[in-house]
Amino acid sequence: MDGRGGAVELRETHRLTGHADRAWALAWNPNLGAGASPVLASCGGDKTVRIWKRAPDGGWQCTDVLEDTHNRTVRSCAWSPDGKLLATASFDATTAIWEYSGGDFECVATLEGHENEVKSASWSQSGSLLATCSRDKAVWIWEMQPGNEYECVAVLQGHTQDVKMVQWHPILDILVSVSYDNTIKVWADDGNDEWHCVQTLTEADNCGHSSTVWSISFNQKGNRMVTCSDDCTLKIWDTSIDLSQPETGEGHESWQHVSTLTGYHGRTIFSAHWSSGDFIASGAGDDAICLFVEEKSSMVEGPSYRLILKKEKAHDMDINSVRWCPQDPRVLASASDDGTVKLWELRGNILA
Amino acid sequence: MSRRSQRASACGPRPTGFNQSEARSLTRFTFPHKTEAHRERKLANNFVLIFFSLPEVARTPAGRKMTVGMINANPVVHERPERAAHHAHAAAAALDALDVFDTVRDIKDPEHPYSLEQLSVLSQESVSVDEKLGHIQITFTPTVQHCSMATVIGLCLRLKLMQNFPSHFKIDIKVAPGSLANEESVNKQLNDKERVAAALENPNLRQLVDDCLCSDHSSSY
Repeated sequence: MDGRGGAVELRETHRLTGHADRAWALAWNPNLGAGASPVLASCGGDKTVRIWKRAPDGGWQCTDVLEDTHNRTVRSCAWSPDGKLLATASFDATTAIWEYSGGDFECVATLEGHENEVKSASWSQSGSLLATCSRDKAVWIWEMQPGNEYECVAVLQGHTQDVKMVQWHPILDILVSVSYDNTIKVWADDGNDEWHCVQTLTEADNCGHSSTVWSISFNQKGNRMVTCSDDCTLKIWDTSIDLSQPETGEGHESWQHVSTLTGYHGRTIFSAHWSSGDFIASGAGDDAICLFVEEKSSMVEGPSYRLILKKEKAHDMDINSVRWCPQDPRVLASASDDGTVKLWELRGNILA
Repeated sequence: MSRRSQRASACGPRPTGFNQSEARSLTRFTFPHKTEAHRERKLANNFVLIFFSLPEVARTPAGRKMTVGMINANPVVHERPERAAHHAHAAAAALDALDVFDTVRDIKDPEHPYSLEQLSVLSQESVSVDEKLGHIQITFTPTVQHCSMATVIGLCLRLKLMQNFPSHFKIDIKVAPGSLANEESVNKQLNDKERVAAALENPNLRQLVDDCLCSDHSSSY
């Protein structure tokens, strides 16, 4: 238990209760003021967003409840890179933008345009672009304008079904979307403000997923990406090629499948997240959380990934979201159909 | 336990072979509380169509003008078998397939004033339960190959199970292999919990589902 040479352990440290329905998604504020405690946003089927903060005594409390704006499930939430804005995507077909000012969260904009449920929202690394996706099969890119105005600069059509999640690359203006159509699509600007799909990762051509792809996460450097699926696998991708550069000639390079992690979860994997400390966490419909790391010793055959821990019955019901705390890479948050949000601490020496 | 089969026209004379209490319970399916305004509201909002691609008839209250455009206008209706004396001793015992079947057998078909059991959409063999693993699976058989009501039936089954059994149970709902032309896509939709959650938040679809659930036979027995 002292963290040196002992068994690796994921210990539940806090249980945050308050949601009256399933908790769908989590977002840690990435940019707090100096010395400030971590801040976590959670959202769910009760149509609310809850803001959680660590109190001086180490306990966690819900400091704000963002309600009466969305009239259906709030499916996901995302902080802007500067930590000042929170975007919330709802089944009511809108995306709301919240700003913290004067001690309160205020809804400063509502983005309308999708035909039905908005599933996910993601800010680009600069914070100037926001992507959203919906069951209407489209991905929208919005540009922030002065005065809390958001202009739609692109409507990306390409998926043939429900788009489950969008995620920007951590460094480049490259957007990735994953779908009920089993594919992963990569989108980039051609330099003339025209957005195009630059690559589609499929089961047939790229060793991709064979069922709905639910979630996606990049490592900190942006040269690896993990996706997870209803096919009960996680897949690792080499994303070191900059797809935002115009193609030169035939046979251009592209993102490649690296590894498939299979046999670890017995039901749909809803969430995967890559920590700044290079741990991959996954949460699934089997109520379990798994942690993986890259295996350094097998470099001859290329990178491979090994399970370091499986936490069975981490929640009483499906786990919908797992998110590492950016300020403390050993702290993991999870959200579940059981309505709770749990905080976990990773203990022990992983490299032992 | 007799199980006579006969053809019934949904608007025609009620098939023979039902006893008095059966007939009484069937008349409850005419939804007298549903007004024309209610129907208008349903027609106005085409959310249902977007989600599950329901045909027009789906939004017609059951039991009224059901002859036009029905997906299966003349289903085979089976007499409702007597209830097995199961529940009396089942309360304390472990959950089994019969408990689950008893819970869902009286769900009303979205199109017809009959239960899923009477239409042979469900039978006791449709249900399997693994209590140890906390798993319930239901395999139902739509009445016709191109039944666009299959997704609604699946939603009804899922909601009923969610309302009646401990929440930690994992529920899988599928159509019987070969029973539906678009079997794979229906199965995928029914087991995508995000799509199911969104569907149940859609007021019109929810009304359709609730109508199928609240018209439960069991109270008349």
